[in-house]
Amino acid sequence: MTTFTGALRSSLGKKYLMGFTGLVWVGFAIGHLIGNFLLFAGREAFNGYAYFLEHLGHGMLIYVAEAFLALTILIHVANGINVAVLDKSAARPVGYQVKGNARGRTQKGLASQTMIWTGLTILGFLVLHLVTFKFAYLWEQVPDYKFEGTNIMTRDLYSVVVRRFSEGWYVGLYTAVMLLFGMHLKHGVWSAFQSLGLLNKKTTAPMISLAWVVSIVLSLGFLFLPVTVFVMNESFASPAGGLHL
Amino acid sequence: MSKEETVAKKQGSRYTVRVWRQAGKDKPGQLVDYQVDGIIPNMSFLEMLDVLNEQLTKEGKEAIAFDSDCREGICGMCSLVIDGVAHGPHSGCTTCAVRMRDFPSGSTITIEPFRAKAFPVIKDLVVDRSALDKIIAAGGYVSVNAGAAPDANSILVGKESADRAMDAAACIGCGACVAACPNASASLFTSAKITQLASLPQGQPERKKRVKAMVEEMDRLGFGDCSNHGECEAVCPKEIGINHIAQMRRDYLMATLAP
Amino acid sequence: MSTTLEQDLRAVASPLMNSNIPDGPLESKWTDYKGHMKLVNPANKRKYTIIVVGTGLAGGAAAASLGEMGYNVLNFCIQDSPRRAHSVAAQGGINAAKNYANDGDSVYRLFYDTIKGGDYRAREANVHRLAEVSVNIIDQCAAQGVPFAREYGGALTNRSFGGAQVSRTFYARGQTGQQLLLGAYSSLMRQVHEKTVTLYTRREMLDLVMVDGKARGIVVRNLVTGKLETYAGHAVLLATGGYGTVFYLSTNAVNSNPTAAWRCHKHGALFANPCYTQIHPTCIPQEGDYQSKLTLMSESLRNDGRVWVPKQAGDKRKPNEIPEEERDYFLERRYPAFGNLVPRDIASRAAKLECDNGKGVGLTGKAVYLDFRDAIKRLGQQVVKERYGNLFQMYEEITNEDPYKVPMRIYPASHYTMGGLWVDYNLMTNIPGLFALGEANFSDHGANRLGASALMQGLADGYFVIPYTLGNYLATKQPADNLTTEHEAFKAAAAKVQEMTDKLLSIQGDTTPTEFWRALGKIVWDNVGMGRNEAGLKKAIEEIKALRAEFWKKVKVDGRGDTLNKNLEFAGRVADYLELGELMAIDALHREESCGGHFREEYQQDGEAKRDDEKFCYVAGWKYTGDVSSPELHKEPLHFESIKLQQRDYK
Repeated sequence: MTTFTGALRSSLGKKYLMGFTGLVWVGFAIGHLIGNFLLFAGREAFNGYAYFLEHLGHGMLIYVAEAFLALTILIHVANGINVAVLDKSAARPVGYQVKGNARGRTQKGLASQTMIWTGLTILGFLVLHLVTFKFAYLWEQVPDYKFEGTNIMTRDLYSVVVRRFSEGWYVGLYTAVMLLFGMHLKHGVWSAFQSLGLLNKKTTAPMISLAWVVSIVLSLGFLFLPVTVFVMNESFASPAGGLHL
Repeated sequence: MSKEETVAKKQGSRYTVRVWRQAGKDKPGQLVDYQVDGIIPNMSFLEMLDVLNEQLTKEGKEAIAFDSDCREGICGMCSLVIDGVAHGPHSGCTTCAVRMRDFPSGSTITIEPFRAKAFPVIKDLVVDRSALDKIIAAGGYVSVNAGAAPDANSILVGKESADRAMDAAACIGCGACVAACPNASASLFTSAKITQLASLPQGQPERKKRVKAMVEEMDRLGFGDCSNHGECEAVCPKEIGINHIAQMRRDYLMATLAP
Repeated sequence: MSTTLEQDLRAVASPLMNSNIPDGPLESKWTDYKGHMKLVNPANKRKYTIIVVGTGLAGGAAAASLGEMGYNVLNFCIQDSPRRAHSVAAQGGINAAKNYANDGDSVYRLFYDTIKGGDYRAREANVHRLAEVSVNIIDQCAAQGVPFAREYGGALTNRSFGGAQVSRTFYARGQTGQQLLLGAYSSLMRQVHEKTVTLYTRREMLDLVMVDGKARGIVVRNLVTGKLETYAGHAVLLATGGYGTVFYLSTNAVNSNPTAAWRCHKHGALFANPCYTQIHPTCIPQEGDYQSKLTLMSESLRNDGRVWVPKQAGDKRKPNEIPEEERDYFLERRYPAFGNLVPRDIASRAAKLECDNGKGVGLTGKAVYLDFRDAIKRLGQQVVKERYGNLFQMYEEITNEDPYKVPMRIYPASHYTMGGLWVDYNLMTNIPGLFALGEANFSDHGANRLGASALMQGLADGYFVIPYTLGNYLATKQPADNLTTEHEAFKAAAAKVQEMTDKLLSIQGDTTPTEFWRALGKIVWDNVGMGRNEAGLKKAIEEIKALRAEFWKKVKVDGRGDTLNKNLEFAGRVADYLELGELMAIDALHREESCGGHFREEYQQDGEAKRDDEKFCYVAGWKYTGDVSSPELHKEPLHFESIKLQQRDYK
């Protein structure tokens, strides 16, 4: 008799895990994007948001959340490599000499066939992202910030972000990766629902369209920020920060 | 050659056909080029191969082995990957129903066998698809012995359910879904049988047992994982949808969560 | 006793053809007989090995049922999977006397329609049994999960079919054969899983092995390795289909062939009524010599489509340009009561007659129109699409024409063979232990089969007849001995087959097997097809003899015998077609009457077939004598107790 944990090791189980962990990260990305937009509101708002997150649940909740995110991405990556590299070559040891795509309603395309590469690129970027933002204080000077009208001090994460986004190479890289991220989501979002068995004949096509929308919104949304900071650097680098036109 | 045949040859088109030749299982293989003449637009793809084989036989060469039987798109025996697409360029039909009018005169057509670990090549373009039978043997049935059935109308089945079951039951077991899948997954084939029986009251008693047994057999036979490319649905001659795969995943999840 | 062609044709029962019909009134024969049969003890069943050749409706159903009962079943098929058997191609439906439509159907009416449809050349007792078990078939298939068409309320729905005035045909879209076969196949695979049935795919039966006058095994060629294999059993069941491929162009699959049956015939099994072949009226017309097969479209199309030709011979206008008053709806005109729904043989001949009179349409002039214009007007395109969508799609794929806009062109093609191995009421041939089921036997359709009856017969034989009659045979005649393939008869049979294979490979002439096949097909179609006459049949016999002689001198089989070699497979079958084709002509020549699918031009009245019940109310069973050209005729007189013989009338 197959147990649930046993089932997770089956080919379908891999899909459940892939879809579930993917959706967790899509949820996180949406939250992250909303948070990012506080950058427009200025230094006080952004640092306040960071401070709020760090002190949720007596400062414990963030570790729980981070552990959960770390675990899910680990599963997502390990599974992805397993499915796209190991299982794939095992299931078709001799490939086709001529490659073609069927006409009509196939979802097979650049996005679906490069999930592993867009995924690994995003993973690499994620590491860079953590090093250059979250753990920036470990290797560079991060100024302190005192909230207005209080004695509460915190790290001025706002300044780290603005400084990074004033560097052209970084913004260029960020932009490229966000476009790949969009591609990953274009196949990944609807695919997650399909993998979890949540779609039927009527909902498949709308979900595929929705995935397009999500991928465009997230990818352009994330892009919007560094590009704006780069272009309007003076406004963002001012003491109050944020975008003043 | 009769006069009619001579005329037909003059009228028809010429193609270069690149065919995978392999003497037997585990033997080396390669693509070999052949010229074939006298092909007219309404000829089926397999009739073109028949013409080529007659030509090869006359030249004292070994004919190309390929599978076919009914030649009307229902038995599922014919296979072939034509220019990289299982069952060729025309959607919604099997190789035997593909017509030569779909190929520009003078073009080169590459023909390869269905490729998957679970479908070993037997000879040339012929592969062994018995793995699909094994998936059915694992549970793709309602366990009812001959003679034990109640009156047919004592089991009412709503039209919608019957139609849904029929959509899935249309599968001809050709294996094109496996051949087309970038991961060589048999998910579409397996899920079609699972949803057919899951849509009918007759299939309910064994529903959970069935989905588990069939999924596990599919995995055991070395088919790959499904990555939702949907290429299977696009090449399926019976246009069976990937919504059945979602249904299979639902059922398998339910079967393992609440056995 | 036996007679030869020249001798008296009066029907005298041959001792070789004891039909073993049980006594008692027709309605209760089968029930009483079942109740008194000898049974095999459940514990002993697994000691019996049953060889089933074929996995179509008859073979698949038989192998599954016998496996369920506990026999050790060996099941063989020529394709790579049992699900591919040609039963899969039947489209329209399956008859059953359920009377769900409340339109007056009954077992008797189905029985009567089948006897009448068969032009009074079938055995009453067999046909009645068929009608009786028809109702169980639907129950069985529904229970297996066959997705039959349903009403909104959930009950099964019916359609009407040629040759009947009631709606008794059950269907699953246009794929009824496929769905019924998949039902049988799923039951079969369940038994494979239970290990009661062992499956041998890609095997072609090439000979029967007889020990002490009984059928005890078979020789097959493993089509992948080319090796000859022998298998022993306590009975051999042939469910290998008909011989329609003798015509070369037919609606059969390219691998369908009568070799297994024919090789049994050469061991002494009587071949019954080979001249009864069915030409199906609604096929897509032939276009060129290259064609490998003809595609049939379900005759259910005749429910809503109207068949017509232009009134004016040689009218070359496009169909939609021909006004209503210049169209001849010839079936409706000639047969007002049945109209477009007359039986197949009648519809086919009527179409041929119109074409012979120069009214045929299309490039070749060998086609008539099947028009849905009025149906689309009456029902709307959506309803027509629901009913026939896949057929319309298939037609368009092949012809590149849209049948919603222009009428289909149709022409008759060889489709089904009513003749086959002679069997008694138990479905056993005159060789003890050799049974024939489904299309491979001759028994239930007389001289013409009604639409939607082939599926019914195949499943009836497999699910509900053979499980009983085989048990009776084993219990009374065949102990569960330990015969193995070590017995010398197996080695001798394999050696004989090997000899033939070697010979075919060694000739190395200049003509391929397919070329011979095509040439034979033309002779048979022209002379033993829809219309037959003495001169043509005699000519055909001579031509076939000459072609056969040429075959054995000039055939070219490329490649080797120890590998997958399609040419070699075809060559062996063509060798058999060249013999069976002659027997078809001999039988057609001897039957000096017209009945069902056998239409002798000399015997007609106002264009309708004229039977001769005085002289020909019998089953002709032909025995191989060692010389294909002089077979021995045996007769089983047909007795009609419940039905009065009369001229068929569909007017």
